[in-house]
Amino acid sequence: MMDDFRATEIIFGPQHPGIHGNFGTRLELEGDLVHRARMVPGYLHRAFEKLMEQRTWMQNVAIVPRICVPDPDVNEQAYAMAIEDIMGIEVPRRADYIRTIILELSRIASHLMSLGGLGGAIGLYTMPMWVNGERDYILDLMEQLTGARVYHIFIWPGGVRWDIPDNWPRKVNKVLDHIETMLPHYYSLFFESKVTDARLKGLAPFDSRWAVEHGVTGPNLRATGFEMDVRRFDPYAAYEDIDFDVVTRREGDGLARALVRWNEVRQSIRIIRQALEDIPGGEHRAKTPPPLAFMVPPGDSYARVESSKGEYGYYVVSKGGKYPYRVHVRGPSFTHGIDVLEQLLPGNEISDVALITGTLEVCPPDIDR
Amino acid sequence: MVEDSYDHTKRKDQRTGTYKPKNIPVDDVMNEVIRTFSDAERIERKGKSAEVVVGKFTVSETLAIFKKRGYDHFVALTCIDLIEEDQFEMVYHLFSYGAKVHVYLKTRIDREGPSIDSVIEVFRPAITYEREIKEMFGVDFPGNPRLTQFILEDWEGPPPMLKDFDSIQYVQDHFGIKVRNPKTLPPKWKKAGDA
Amino acid sequence: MTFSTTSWVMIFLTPILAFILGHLFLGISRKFTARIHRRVGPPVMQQFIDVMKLFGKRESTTHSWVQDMGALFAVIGVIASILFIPIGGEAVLSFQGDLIVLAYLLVIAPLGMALGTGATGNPNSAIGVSRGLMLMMAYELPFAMVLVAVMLYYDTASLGDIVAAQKGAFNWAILALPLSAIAADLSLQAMLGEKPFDQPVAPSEIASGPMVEFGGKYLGMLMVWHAMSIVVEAGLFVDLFLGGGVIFPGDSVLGLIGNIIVWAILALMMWLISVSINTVFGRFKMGQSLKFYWGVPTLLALLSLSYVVISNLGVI
Repeated sequence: MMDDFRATEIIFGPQHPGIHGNFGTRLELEGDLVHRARMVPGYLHRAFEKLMEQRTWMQNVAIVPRICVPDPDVNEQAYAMAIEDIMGIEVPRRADYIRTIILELSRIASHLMSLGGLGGAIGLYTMPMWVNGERDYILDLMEQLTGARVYHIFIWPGGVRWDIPDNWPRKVNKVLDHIETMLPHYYSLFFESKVTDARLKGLAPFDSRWAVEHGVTGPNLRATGFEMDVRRFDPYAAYEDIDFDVVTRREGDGLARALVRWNEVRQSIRIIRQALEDIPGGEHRAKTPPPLAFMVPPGDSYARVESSKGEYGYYVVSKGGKYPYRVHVRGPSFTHGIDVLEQLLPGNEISDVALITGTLEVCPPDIDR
Repeated sequence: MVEDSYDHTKRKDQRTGTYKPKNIPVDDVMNEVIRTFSDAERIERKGKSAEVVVGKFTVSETLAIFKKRGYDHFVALTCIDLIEEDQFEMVYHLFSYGAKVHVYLKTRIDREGPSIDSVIEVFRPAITYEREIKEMFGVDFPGNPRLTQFILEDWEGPPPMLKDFDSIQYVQDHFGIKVRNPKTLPPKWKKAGDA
Repeated sequence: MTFSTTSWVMIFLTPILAFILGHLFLGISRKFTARIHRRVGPPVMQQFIDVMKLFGKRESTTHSWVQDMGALFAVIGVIASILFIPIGGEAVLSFQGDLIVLAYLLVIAPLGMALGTGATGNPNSAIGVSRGLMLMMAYELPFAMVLVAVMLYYDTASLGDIVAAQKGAFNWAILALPLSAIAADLSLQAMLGEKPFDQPVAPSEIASGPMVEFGGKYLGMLMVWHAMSIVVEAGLFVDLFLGGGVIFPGDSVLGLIGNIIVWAILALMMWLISVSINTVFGRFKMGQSLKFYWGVPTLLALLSLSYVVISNLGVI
């Protein structure tokens, strides 16, 4: 332990331009180096887990997307999957495909936003401006389909709320074509820059064994070379019928984590194109009880999905009746943002704090819930 | 206050080698667990998941067996307040990247003076989950060095996730807000002894 | 040195000109950056509006008088240095050795800011100030060598004489000493505090560093300092390497005004070059910028300096 007189304590967030969302870090600095880091979550605590116990099953559909702001659809999907598992509902194939399209659009939007956030963390403000412009086109698509830009409340237990309009696939293809033509420009802006190399290469590296021991999931785990993707090993929605690559890198450093996200955008475009092509006809919703009398038989189930940040899980416990007994949300940032970050930050310069948080893609709302 | 320290001068590097998933069928591990601990009981589940209920004092050792057999992804730790049975149920979610099976490891603890040994020696990610449960349910985890204030700041009331915590009453008492529409009141859960 | 009436008028007019030009430059650069970002951007006059608003604010926090002094120091330092810069070929203060005085004056303003922020006691400011001083160490090395090379080449330590010596077609120092010009432009990037060398005020690292404890009039003061220092630093480059913008005969008033406009356009060009680098680069870490400045720019400046020294000796 260093004596307290040599350390400078800096409160890094939530009132700090470098922090990602409503989240705080107490840094003890020794010169320019972080000696100790303490995460201070709780600025976004909305007690959703408690609230969900006091709302009906269908009212909760409107609550769950608000848990993760940049990537809301995974919440709806995981919540719906858990309920479907308890109730034994068979989701129509068409609904699965529509869900896949929504989830992948959301993943593109979230990945673009996080890469923009990385640009912001190293001061390259052109990157967030450009990629958030592309994200806006996706939000427009979502608005056309669901009526909402950010919180769509579109995936219900048993299917989706309504079928996709006739002209919507054409618009999706148009947006995807546009994003695909723009991606090389963003690549050369961000990844071909010497500054990005200097800042991200070798930043807070870890190996796959360390990652698994510390509960790291998602793109951060894939960046260590371990091919782990919920979409591949525990397929949900329509992923088992769709051909896509699980993107991995071997280096396990900040640049690898950013590149995994970057390449996943291309894979997501590929998945959406296939899903739009192969989408079967039929119902978009299974037969479920009416929303006001929605009852779930006793039981419990854990449903996991692959979010843009890592493994997202809902553990739903039902004792029968109109209300859930317990809903536990397992956000990927719950491990990334507290324990992993507290161990990665010490020894790094203060310049890298925002960047490491960014490459791990810590999303404070799913820590606080 | 006991806090562990990550002094970077002594810190081990995060380069610990490549992870190799082990593919061991869940039935084998379950049999081993049931052979080792007499109070362990397997509960049948559908799909790619398995459930085992163990006693409160054998949780760490059971988790160690699972970890050794490739069930080394600690997914989450859930606490459920079973107020009608006057107990807490702790659910340890494990996953095997090799066998691709999800394991629910459940145990019950008393609701009065709740305490269960920390499992951070076996699964490091549990440190944050235990910290949250300490705050939200009041369950103590001897062996966890970081049971400090987590999300709730300056909280004086009882642990808020308990089923007998009346959030509407708390709001009316503390913030001077009158809740107008009593129709939307949430379900009330009674303690085991109460009529 | 005696002051004529014209000199006295110029002493008041030059800082006002620099004030207007600086804010205009900043306004144009905000629009310029916005267009690269695919935004509309604020109006060009926004910078004036911002400064006016900041000066109209009341102070609500208490602080020591050192902070007042620091902000004043910065503004006075930059006003003093603008008087040494030949604008359109005519500097208010010009004497033998003024380039050396200017090199010192350029440091006064950042030191004033360091003084003011040091008094606030905010750890972010302290880190920002120490970064700023480190960065100064980095870019002053090549820049000092550039100054020496130019002084030796024209055999004078007066900026006015250097500008006068570059009069005429294709006589600019950028053609005579291209390596020095490149080194000076690279140093200019850090001097202006643009990316990849804006560590002293990095928002995502130290919450804008020195500015974090400044608000209202104090922030207004710092903005004025920043705007005018752009004019000083870009103008210094124009005077050193681009002939000071002198293309019309300067003995008539009309010619002088024409020269001032050309000088301003050239300075704006130098500023916009810096801004366009700023928009497409991220930020280096402190050590990386030290390494950068003590590498290529120092080498270029050294090569150019040795060329000047050798040619002065008459070998080539």
